[in-house]
Amino acid sequence: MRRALLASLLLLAAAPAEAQLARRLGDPASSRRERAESAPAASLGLGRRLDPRPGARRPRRGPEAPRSGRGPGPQIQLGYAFYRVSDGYGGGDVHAATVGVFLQLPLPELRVGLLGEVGSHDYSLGGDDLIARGGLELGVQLLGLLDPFVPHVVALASVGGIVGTRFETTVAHAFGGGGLGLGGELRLHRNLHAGFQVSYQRLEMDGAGFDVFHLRLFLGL
Amino acid sequence: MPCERIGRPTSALERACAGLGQPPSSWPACAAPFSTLLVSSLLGCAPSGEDPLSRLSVYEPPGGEYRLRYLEPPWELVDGDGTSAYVRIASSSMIFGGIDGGAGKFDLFATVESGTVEANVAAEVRAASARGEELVDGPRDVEAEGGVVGREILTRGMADVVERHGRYAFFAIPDGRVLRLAFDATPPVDTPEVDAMIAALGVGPEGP
Repeated sequence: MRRALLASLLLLAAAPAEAQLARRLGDPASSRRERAESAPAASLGLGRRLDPRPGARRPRRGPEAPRSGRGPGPQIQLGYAFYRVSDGYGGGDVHAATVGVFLQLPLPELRVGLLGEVGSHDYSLGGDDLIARGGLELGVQLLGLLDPFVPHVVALASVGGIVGTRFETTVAHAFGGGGLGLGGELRLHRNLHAGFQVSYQRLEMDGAGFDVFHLRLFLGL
Repeated sequence: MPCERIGRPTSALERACAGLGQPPSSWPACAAPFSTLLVSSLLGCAPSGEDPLSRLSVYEPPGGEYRLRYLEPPWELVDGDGTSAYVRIASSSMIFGGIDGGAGKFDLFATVESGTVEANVAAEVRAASARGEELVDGPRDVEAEGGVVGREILTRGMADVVERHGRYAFFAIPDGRVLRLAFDATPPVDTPEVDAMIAALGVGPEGP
């Protein structure tokens, strides 16, 4: 037992010495390994870690476990959305500002997100309405497959409301529904990424059903 | 649920609740029907929102003389008795002052009269003049659901110190009778919204 403990201590003590020796001798593999190991762990987002060496190749598959033991932080995205909730008279276009936050827990391949939107809804027979929508998305993203592009597919659930003027009177109508979304994020620099999502949702409002095709463009950190 | 549409108004809320035999008196009581409605919508069973009639409530007299469609809210059915119906949008004094009488922001009366369309239009012009109202436009053609053409006039007058706008439309219905729609409102009534409301009016018995 004592011999085993002594051998372990000697090995641990010899490792830095070996690295120093290799550096003195100009062993490039050892030098790179040492720099990589001593680099600080920086979360890149989208389930990946920042590699500090410019131009370095990232591993093709498999997310790296965060050094701190926690998962990657939330991704915050700001963007623009366009879709159409028909008003029955040829109008219904929606232009909205969006904010989204998603987490990659418990696995980087999984994503759970919250979305919020506020915008204008075109009403053919009068002035524009105010529309607000909140959504929950749950899906998967493919890491390392098309690096630095990270595609995803998610299931969506939405609730919201339209506030507008009908016959000179302010009224509000609630809606809700769900659907599927496809999209992806392109990593630009560190955590900065640009992305898009197209989705189909079936919404219900006042007993009527609406087929809503939704486009969202965003920048995120 | 065609039986729900005879002699009484039907709204999306009522239709959803009636579907499961629950009164539409409270939101919690209607949670289940709305869940059903949402699921049916997701499955594609709900009427398409592309159809402007899909979100409107309907009042249809027992005889099926007409189908008055209105967006609820802001419109509400105040009275529906036989061939007559009264729907309105409450005024601010009604909403915030607790006043339950007087003119609403919009009042709409639907009645069935005897005679011809032209005779009723002429009588309405005379009556408007007698009330001190100014004839703003008409008589002119107006179109209801299915391309049914009627005649209408537009008037303007004063009620106390408030200017009121009138729009009176007449459509021929079977048995030599005439359907009279009378809008009386503080805001103008020669608007796309009122045009659309008249265009959604079903005149005569509903087709098969």
